[in-house]
Amino acid sequence: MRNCWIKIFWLIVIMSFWALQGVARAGYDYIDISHPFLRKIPIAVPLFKKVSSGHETDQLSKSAPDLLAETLEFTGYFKLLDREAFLVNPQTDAAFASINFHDWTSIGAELLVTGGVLVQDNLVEIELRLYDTFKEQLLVGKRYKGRVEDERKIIRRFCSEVIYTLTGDRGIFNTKIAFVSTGTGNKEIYICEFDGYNPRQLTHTKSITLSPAWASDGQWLAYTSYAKGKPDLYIKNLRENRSYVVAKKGINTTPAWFPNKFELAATLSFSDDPEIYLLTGTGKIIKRLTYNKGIDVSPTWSPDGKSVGFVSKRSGTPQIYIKDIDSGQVKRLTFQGRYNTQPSWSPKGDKMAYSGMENGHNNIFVIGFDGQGPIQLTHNEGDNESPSWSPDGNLIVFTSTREGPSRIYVMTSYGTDQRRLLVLKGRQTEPKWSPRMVNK
Amino acid sequence: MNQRVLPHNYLDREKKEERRALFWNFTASLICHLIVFSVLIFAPGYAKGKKPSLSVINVSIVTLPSQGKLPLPDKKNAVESKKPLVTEKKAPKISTKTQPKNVSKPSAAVSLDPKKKVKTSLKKKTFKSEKVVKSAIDRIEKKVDESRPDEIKQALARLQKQVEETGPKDLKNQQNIKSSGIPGGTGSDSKKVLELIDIYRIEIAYRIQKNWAFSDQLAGGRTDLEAWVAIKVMKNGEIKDVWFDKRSGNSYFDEAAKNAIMKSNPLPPLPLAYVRPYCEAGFHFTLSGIDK
Repeated sequence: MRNCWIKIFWLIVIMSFWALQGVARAGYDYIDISHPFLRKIPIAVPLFKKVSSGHETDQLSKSAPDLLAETLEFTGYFKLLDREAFLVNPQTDAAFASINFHDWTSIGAELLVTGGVLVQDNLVEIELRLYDTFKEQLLVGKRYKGRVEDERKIIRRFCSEVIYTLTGDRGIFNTKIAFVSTGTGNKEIYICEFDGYNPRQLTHTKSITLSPAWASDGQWLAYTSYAKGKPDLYIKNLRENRSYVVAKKGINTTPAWFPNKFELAATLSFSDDPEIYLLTGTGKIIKRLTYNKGIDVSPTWSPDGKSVGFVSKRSGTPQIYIKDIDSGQVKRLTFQGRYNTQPSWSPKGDKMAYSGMENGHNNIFVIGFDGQGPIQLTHNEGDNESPSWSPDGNLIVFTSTREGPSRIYVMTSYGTDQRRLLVLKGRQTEPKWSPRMVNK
Repeated sequence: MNQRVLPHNYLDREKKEERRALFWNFTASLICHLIVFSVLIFAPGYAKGKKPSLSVINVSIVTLPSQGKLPLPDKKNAVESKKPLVTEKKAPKISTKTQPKNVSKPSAAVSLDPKKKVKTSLKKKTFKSEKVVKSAIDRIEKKVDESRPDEIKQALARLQKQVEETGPKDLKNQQNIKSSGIPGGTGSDSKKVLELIDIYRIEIAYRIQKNWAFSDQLAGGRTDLEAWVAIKVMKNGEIKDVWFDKRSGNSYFDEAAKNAIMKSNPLPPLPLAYVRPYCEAGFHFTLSGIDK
């Protein structure tokens, strides 16, 4: 009995302490903080330390960090801090070898990238480090060796490491954008880097070329061309001199590659009714995907390949529909607006971007498959069309006439940070973001 | 034999189990009662939480020294200042005291008679009802006289003590006190100080919010993240400790919240009237604003 009472006593004591602890916790109330002041990570990229001397070292110690800052800022994740605010001279050891992190946290930097440049006989060695300034921790450090001309490649590789360290995703630094431009007087397909760098003409058809579409491996590009007087489908290998043509009666247009397969969907009208078909990479018909009198065009595959989105006029106005390949069921996705076209399925599979017309102007919308939206991403700035997702799903490339002629712009998937990608002669339309290039 | 004995054993066990069940039920209820009482006894925070609305006098106690201190850095001045303080608030009550005292004496004599005559006839009752009412009023006034002067005296005594205690400090820190406007704060018992510390908490929350940098894209577009973070702020505003009462589960979100706090270090010093050596504050980080 004594033991029992002792146990009860201790139980009471323990429970009382537990109860009091709960009360003590409630000693302060919680104040809600629900709006991040800055929706980006403040990052500091000081000039790189010159390890060697010479003109090239001087130049690289400035151009490389500028390029790094520019490339990181393009992702929309970061807020670059002004170098004027830095408390440290990058040419001293304090900025590179032994870092006083307080110098960086006191100016608000949460991340810091330092670098050192060594140039010898046109060969460059760049060491780059990413630090978490609050944890005072090295997150990633790499040393690259190459030619001086490889500066951009080196910087992009390190940016890819930075994004991978922070997000677990390789980012967009190995991607390209295909688009249509009238720079030569004809509509031709061009390709540029993800940030608009190095645009070059791909096709020389001297006619109308439209609707570029990247295969999952980034090695094949399909497009429609009027080279033979009518819209035919061209399937071109970008590395080898190989190509296939689908030139059936009627129109052969709006290709969309099946994910991770050498197959693609396209709109063919050889039966007088434009319908979507599944084709092999060489242009042979595998099966018909849509069955409806009226136009069915612009297919876009879900990332798992189990569904295909497309535009149809079956309800009277152009709207976006989704077909489940296995069950054959078709359901309408868009109900707002009377003219919704150019669907683009997000790489994460949760959203569809499209172009919708309201009050005589086209704008970019995003609708979620969980019932969210549609959310309008562009507002009152000319016509905004042809959305295409970046492979990481964070950015959308599109065309806009906000500055007069149609140009290519990029924004985040939330519609923020809208900026022009490049300026070329003529009008640029129909941008398509490539998947990540494997062996670049 | 064993087979015969077993059922009896079973019955005994049942009885024992019933007793045990009763015993455990009793002990469980006892424990619960003890816990409840111990919480009530050892956790005055609950009682205090309800009291402030009732203890209006506390507010007046705090406001009085703030008015009185600026002209009263010395003890002599403090004594002089008591008079206006009393006349402002309690003077009407004191004036009523003198009148009821005179009235109360006859009422006491009257009150004895009715008790005997009530039994005799109703006419006498009605005849003396006015006196009964008067006597009742007198009693109430007496009670008021007995209770209120004590409160006033107590309040005055507290004021005297406070002035005596804070007077010398004020001499040293006259400029600070004038600028802060919280002279004579008495610490946690003061409602005004409580309000000040609440304002302080909101101020530091605003400062932390301004330092909160978070890329919703990096969080994968999630808007359901929540983190409860608390801090310990020393008198000089230094953040001595940061801890998570509840993490969001997203390491980047949690780190961003913690970084926002660390970027705000040091915070402004605690209010001068805050007596405790440190202050604790909790913050609830959410992304509710991102959708808007």
